[in-house]
Amino acid sequence: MGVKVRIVPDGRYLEAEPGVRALDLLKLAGMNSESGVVLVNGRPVTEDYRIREDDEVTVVRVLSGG
Amino acid sequence: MARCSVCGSPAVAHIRYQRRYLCERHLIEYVESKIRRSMSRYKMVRPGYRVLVPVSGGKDSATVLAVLSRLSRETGFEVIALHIDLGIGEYSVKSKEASMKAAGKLGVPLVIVSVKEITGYTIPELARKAKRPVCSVCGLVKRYLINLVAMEIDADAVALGHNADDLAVYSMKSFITQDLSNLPKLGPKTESIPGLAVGRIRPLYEVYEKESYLYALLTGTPFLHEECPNVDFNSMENRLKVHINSLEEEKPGVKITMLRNMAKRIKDYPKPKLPISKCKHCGLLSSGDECSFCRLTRRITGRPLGPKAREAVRSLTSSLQLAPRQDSAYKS
Ligand SMILES: [Zn+2]
Ligand SMILES: [Zn+2]
Repeated sequence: MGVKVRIVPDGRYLEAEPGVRALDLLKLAGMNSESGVVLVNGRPVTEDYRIREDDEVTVVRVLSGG
Repeated sequence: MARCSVCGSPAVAHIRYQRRYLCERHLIEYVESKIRRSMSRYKMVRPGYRVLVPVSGGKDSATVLAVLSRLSRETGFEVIALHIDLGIGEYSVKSKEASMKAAGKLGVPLVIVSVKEITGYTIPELARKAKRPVCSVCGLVKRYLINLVAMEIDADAVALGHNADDLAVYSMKSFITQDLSNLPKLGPKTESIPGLAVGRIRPLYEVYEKESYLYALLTGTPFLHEECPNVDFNSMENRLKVHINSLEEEKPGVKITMLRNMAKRIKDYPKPKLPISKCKHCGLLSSGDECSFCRLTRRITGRPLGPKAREAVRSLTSSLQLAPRQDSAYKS
C-alpha cells in the first residue's frame, strides 16, 4: 500500500511507495532540496531518508510568495 | 539516515554549500551564529538600540523576532514587535493570531495597528477604491505604517524579515529591469533620515529561506504556514525564486556569494534619485510635498489620513513600557 503524502501549504496530496527517498518526494511535488522540506512525523529529514509504510509524511514548500 | 557532522545525532538538514549535515540543535545554533555574524559584519545594532520588528505571522518575521529577542539580552538592545492587521479576510485573522502567539511566547511587547481602524477601509477595499493592484496598495500602506510606528516609538532600526532568497530575487529583478538605483535599498542595512524615517536592517540577509523555515519550526516559534490569497505565483519575483533555486541546487552557495558581493558593491550602484522631503500633512518622509499614503487616502476619503494615523499610533504606543533613554547620542 502507498504512503499518503500531504503537501503544505497547497493542501494537495500525493501517494508514494515505501522506500522512496525524501528527495524523490520533493521532485514529485515539483520542488527541490532548496525549495522544500520533507517532514516525517513532524520532524524534518534529510534528502536521503527512505519513507516507511507507517510514516506520516508532509512535503512543505518553504518558499513563500511575495 | 544522515548524521550531524558536528555531533553524530540524526541530521535534520543538509547545508549543501557547507557540505555539512546538522542535527536539530546544531542547525538552530548554526542559523543563530549566521545571524549574529551578519549583524556584526554589517553593524546592524548597537547596545541601547530600540529595534522595531514588524511581524506578519509568517516564518521569516517569526525567525527574526525569535533570534533578536534572544540576542537582545546578550547585546543589550530593546525589541518591540509590530503587527499590521491588513483586513484580508480569514488570512489576516490567522496572521494576527500567529503574531500574538509568537510575541507572547517570546515575551516581546507587541503593537497591533489595524488598517481598517485607521483609514476606515481594509487593504482590499482601499485597492478597489483606488483602482490599483492590491499588492501595491498593501506595500505602500505597510511601509508607511511601519515607519510611522518606528518614528513614534523613537526606534533606532526596523528589522525586516527578508531572507537571502527574497533579496537575491529582488536584486535580480532590479538588474533585469535595470532599475539599478533600487539595489542600494536591498542591502543589509539602510540609514535613518533624522526626523523623517527610521533605517532598516535585514538580519536574515545571509539566511536561506529553507533555513529560516527550519529555525522557526525547530525552535517551536508559532507561525502561520499559509500564503496571502493575493499572491501571484507567476510574478517575476516568484518565477525567479524557482529559477535561482534550481541554480542553487546545481551550484550550492550561489545565492550567498551573490549577496555577499552585492553588499560590498552597494556603494557603486547609483543612489536613488528621488528627492528627500517632508510631507506637508503628516511630516514624514516623502518624495514631494505630499507622501504617498496621504495622497492615496486623500484621493479615497477626501482628506489625507497621515495625521490621523499618527494620532492613532501615538495613543496605541503610549501604554508601551519602553526602556528609558539616556540621550539620543545613538542617532548621530
Ligand atoms: Zn549535532
Ligand atoms: Zn503624509
